[in-house]
Amino acid sequence: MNCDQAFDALTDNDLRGSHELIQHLDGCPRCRDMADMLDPALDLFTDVLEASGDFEASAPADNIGNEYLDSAELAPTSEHSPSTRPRTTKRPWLHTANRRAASQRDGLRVAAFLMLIAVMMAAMVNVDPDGRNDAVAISLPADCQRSTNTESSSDNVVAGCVACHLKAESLASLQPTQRTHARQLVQRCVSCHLDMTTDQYLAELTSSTHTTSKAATPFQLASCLFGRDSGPSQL
Amino acid sequence: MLNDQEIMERVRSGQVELFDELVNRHRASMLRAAVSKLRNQAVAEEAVQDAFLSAFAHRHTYRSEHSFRGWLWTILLNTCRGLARREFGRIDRAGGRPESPTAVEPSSTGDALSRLVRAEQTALLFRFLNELPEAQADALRLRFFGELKFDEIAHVMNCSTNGAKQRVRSGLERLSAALRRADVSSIDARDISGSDRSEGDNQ
Repeated sequence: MNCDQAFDALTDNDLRGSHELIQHLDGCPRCRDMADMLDPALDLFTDVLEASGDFEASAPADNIGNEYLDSAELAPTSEHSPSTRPRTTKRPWLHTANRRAASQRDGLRVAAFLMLIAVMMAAMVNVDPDGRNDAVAISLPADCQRSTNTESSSDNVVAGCVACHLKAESLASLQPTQRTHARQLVQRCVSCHLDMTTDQYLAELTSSTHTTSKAATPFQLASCLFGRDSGPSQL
Repeated sequence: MLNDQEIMERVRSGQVELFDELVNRHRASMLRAAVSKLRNQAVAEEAVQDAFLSAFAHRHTYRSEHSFRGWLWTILLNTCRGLARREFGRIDRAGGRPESPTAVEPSSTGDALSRLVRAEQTALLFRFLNELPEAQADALRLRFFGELKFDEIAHVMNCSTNGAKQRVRSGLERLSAALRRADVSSIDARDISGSDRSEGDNQ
């Protein structure tokens, strides 16, 4: 054994205690010094490898590897014959990874469910400021239909909505969430019937009908338009 | 008994179920190396799984004149690097710190104390490996966990055989020096605590 082979044997867990290596170290002070110097690290590797010698030996061999076989089906593998079709049963060798992946999948499912709920709630309260999302879904109550049927133009339809839903007296009696809904309903009216945003509509109203109140609130506008007293200054 | 290359040839020719045997042979050592490199058991298992998946999916790219272990471990190291970038990048962005190395559960045999000692030894080895330059640490992982020959290590690390030996040797020297320092400091700590106790006893 030469010095090069001695280093190979020294770093090979099976050959580290071999007779040939011991003989070489006895006759080679240089390699013996090197072995002494490297002993702590080599001992630690030996201990760790011996300790984990039967690491995960409990995984049955006949089930090992099914996971990659299953995944490989995703890729076109023409050589898969029915007899060699990958099994899809237990996959114990990947149990921890599977648990992790399953946990991630569960998390994704929960997130997707929550997102669905959020989307449904958003649709109910119409988060879209222009109210275009459910433009065809509004069925007006009988009172609204009576008031809007008499109107001939889009301007008047919207003005009717504004007058009823943003007027001071009715808003004052509403709960905060109901006020929000009232305002959103008007936003939808403005969006569909006038094809503009509420802000644009209010700006237009301000400039055309009440030029002195540039910062008029919807309540003030409603009062201004329909001759009612202004109610709460804010929605 | 078929060797790795022969099994891989048969897998390539359609006997895909034989790949189980390759997984069976190499998984434990690959997992040990991945845990030591990624410092996280779950991510390491993902790396090993991905490496096997990748090896199987790209089995047609394997050339039988090369070592199968070298090819497989090259895939593993590349997978580990990719996962490390993803995982530790995520941790860095979150302002956290990576997990400390999770010791691969040693043998279930033996008493509680010996299991504890082995777990500590494993954790110590993984910690010191992570303090080495990556090339040296990988060379040690390939040599001791993967049991690759030096020419296989050279192929994986894209260096000469002598270069691979030098990396292993340098890594072992640094590791030994760190272990000696740790041993000395623990002896010092024991001495200090012992002297404190004796002073307390005297008082």
